Amino acid sequence: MSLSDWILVALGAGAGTYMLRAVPFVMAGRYEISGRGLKFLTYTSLAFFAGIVSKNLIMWKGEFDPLELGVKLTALVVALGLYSRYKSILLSLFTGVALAVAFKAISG
Amino acid sequence: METELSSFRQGTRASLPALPTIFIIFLGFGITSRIEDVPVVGAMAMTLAICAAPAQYAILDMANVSANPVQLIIVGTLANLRFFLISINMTQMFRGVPLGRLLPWAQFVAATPFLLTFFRSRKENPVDLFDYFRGIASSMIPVIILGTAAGLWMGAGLPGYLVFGATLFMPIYFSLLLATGVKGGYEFAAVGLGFAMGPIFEALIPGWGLLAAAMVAGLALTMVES
Repeated sequence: MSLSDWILVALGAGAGTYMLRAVPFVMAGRYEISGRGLKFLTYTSLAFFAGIVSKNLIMWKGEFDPLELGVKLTALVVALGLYSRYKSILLSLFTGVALAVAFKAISG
Repeated sequence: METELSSFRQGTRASLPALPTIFIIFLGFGITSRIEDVPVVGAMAMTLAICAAPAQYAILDMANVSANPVQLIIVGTLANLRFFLISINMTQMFRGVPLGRLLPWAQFVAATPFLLTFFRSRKENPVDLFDYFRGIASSMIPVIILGTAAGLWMGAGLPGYLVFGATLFMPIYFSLLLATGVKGGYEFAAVGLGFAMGPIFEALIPGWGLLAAAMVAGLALTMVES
């Protein structure tokens, strides 16, 4: 495809995506979400959040690798343990990731 | 209520741990674009206009099969349907914000800004959630541009273990947020169901599975609770 084709694709898909993002805000004043609806949104958000975590932990590049899963879970457990002890997200996060990188570098 | 600047800064700060993963996701898009011979301007235009790596990957994937721009536009748009549901959720957090302020920032509705803002909305000492969201989005914009540019520039040259490590920032960060922010049995159940069902659904319906699993979990728990 030519450059102009790629730019057309970018602008077209960008406009379509923007509509999906913006339309609910435009319509927001015209509907009211009930208490049950809010609970549904809360549970759905939390489940979506947890799904992102498990997908990222279990699959990397769309593949399942038990060794990598072990490394990731070890890093996660260490991070959670450090957080419960020191209450510092950055310390816990960087230590967990550094541990995983070290394991991966050693194991090749 | 915190001041506007403070809310914005808090959002920026909250986004920092997620930025390495976002960088790597867009680095991957840049690398793939180079492999697929997408012109640099075309790849950068996709990142700027679409701001959603999964849809951008879907377009590159489809371009191998069809060179029809209309088909690629449809694929790129449909791959982002989840943003419609995310925006519906966000309207509840941004009540009272004028539409004129909301619309320019709607371009940056995506999973990470949504989830970080959602978690902040549940904490005590409230902030201006819209400014918090703007803080998150503002820190992500240069990162997705730099990630795409770096991928286009370097090709496949980054050591594997560094890429592996960078992809771990987001799941570990999100796990820490979940560990500190979930309240009550139904919310724990939502997390458990999402964690267990997400990858299975995602394998069955790629690109849609996480949202589908989350909606099934949300619907089931809402029905059980009421």
